[in-house]
Amino acid sequence: MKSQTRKILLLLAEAFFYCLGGVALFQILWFFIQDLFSTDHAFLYFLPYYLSCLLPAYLVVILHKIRHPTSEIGKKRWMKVNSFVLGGISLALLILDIVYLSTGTYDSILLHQAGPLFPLSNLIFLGLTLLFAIGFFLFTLPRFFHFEESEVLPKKRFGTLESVLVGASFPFACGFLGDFLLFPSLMDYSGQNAFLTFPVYLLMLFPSLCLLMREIFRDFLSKDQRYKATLPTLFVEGVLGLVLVLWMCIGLSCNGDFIIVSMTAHFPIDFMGSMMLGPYFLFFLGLLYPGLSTLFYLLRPASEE
Amino acid sequence: MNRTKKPLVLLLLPLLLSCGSHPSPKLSDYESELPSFDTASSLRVLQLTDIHWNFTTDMGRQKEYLSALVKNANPDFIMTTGDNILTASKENFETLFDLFESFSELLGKDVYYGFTWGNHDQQGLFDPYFPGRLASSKPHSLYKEIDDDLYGECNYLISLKKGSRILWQLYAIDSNSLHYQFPSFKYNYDIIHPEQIQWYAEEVRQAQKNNPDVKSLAFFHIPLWETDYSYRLAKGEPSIGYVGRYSGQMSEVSTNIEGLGETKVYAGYQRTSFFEVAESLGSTKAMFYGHDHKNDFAAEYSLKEGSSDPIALCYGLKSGSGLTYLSDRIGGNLAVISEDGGFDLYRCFQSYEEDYSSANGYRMEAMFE
Repeated sequence: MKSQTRKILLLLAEAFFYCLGGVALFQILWFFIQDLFSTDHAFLYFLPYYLSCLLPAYLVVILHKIRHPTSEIGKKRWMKVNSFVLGGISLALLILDIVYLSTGTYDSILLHQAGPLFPLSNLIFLGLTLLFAIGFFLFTLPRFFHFEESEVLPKKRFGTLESVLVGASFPFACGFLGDFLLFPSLMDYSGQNAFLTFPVYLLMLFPSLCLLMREIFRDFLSKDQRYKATLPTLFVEGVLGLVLVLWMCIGLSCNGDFIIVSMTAHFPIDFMGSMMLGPYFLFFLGLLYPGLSTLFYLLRPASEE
Repeated sequence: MNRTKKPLVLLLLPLLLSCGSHPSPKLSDYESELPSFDTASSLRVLQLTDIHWNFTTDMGRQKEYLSALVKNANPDFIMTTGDNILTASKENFETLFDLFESFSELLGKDVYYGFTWGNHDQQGLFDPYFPGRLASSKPHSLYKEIDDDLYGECNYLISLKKGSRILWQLYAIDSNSLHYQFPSFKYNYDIIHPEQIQWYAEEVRQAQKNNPDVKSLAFFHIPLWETDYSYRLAKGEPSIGYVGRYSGQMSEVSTNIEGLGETKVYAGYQRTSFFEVAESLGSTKAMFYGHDHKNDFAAEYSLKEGSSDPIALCYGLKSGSGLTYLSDRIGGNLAVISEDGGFDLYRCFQSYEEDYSSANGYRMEAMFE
């Protein structure tokens, strides 16, 4: 497979699981938060569901490391180890689901809890993930598939710090994207607060778009192209982030209730605990990504960009 | 006005005229009328509250529970006081409303019902107005959602008549959800807004033209500050107003509300004039609310010394095991209202049972001895 095609396919695959992972992460918040606050907890009962919801995000991490290996041997080792881990987790959860069904813990294959098709949907998902893990492992065996060697990008100054910070913010960026992707179901269609909710929706999308730009720069631009495009991109990201954050803050100061009236469903933790968390996270992320990228750009020598 | 501006203004005029304007509904638009006292001298109104169905709810078990409670309480009307769901799907709401519809068949008579919304009813995988649309669509639902300038959604009333005379009214009032003041990190609980109180007063005065002795019950989700006052007075502490008979308990963890202090009542962010207005009009005899699952305190309370006509402030019994609850204090409140204007209040306890036949797990006690 040509390296450019492989890069595109891998990026698309990671983007797909990133979107799926985002929706799953957001949904798990719904379940888990109310379970946490309940007198009758159901953690063990829904354990297969909770852990299954984390698998797409785990796949994103696996694919990301494959796309950006530190060495060819390291990449193959990463793939082998994680195919076993992924396969192991999927198999364990699949067995747990089957045990729950056979012992009557789940008294039906369609419980009308955790969605209309649960636990059948979970069984199907775990089965597909197990098959994926097996296929994944087979890809590491030369007799089945031959890769061209991956491009290993040189280490950058502060690269580890940047990876740690971006990695730490990944669940939030991914979760907010999942929140955004559900907006057709959750949106206030009356339009009464459309002007005020618009920047909030864009801020949910913004961190993921910044991450996407990073990936496109790394995978598809040459060193010269990256060097020329970085500064304008940082400027646009910075201005956009700042405008959206200010727009949201002005909206909150003029009409603090618009989130309550029109966006309750988008911030489950906030409304369980009566705390304004989600918009403040968006505020932080809206400034963090362009801010960090600009900082690292300024700290690194031009030759490393 | 120059030539270029004139067409622009004419084009924008409809938009400008439509901005911020709602149609002005009539008072009668909020009202459903039922000739219930034509065929009965007394009616039973059951308050259910904080049902809190959600994604993880075993709906079969919860349906059995609520059906048992309703069957044993045998109401003619059911009013929920908010938080019907929490982190729920459309299916949860649809199942709940279908269950309410099934109560007519269960009891062999028309059982009408209404909903008030709490601070969690929009927390689900649906748009904010889905619950209202669904509630409005059911045959026995008396829920009304009027396109108006009143804050909140569930502001409506049910007039129970004998002939052309209104004897009792049931007011559903939206105590709304949360209140936010930028740049705080905290939401406070909202209140019944002044224009809602004004609407309530106008409706009562309108009904009093039909029958000066018309009585009413009010249903909403978030309790008033007066609930805290009545509790303090019941404990022998100094507070505002005067308390008569009282019962029940307050088992919630204390919180602090600015202006109210340490309290077990998770009330709105400020005191409103709703109780004062209700007492001055003299129609409302009892107010029912929920929100605080482990509180079921009720008291006869008045702002006037020596009042012979206090208003009963009544926490509802938490209706089921959704979210947090006390297993021995769940069920519903029952108001038995008579055509002569009298009324009795009861707590209907219903525990979860394997078998609900023979009224297993059900007991009823008078709210005030």
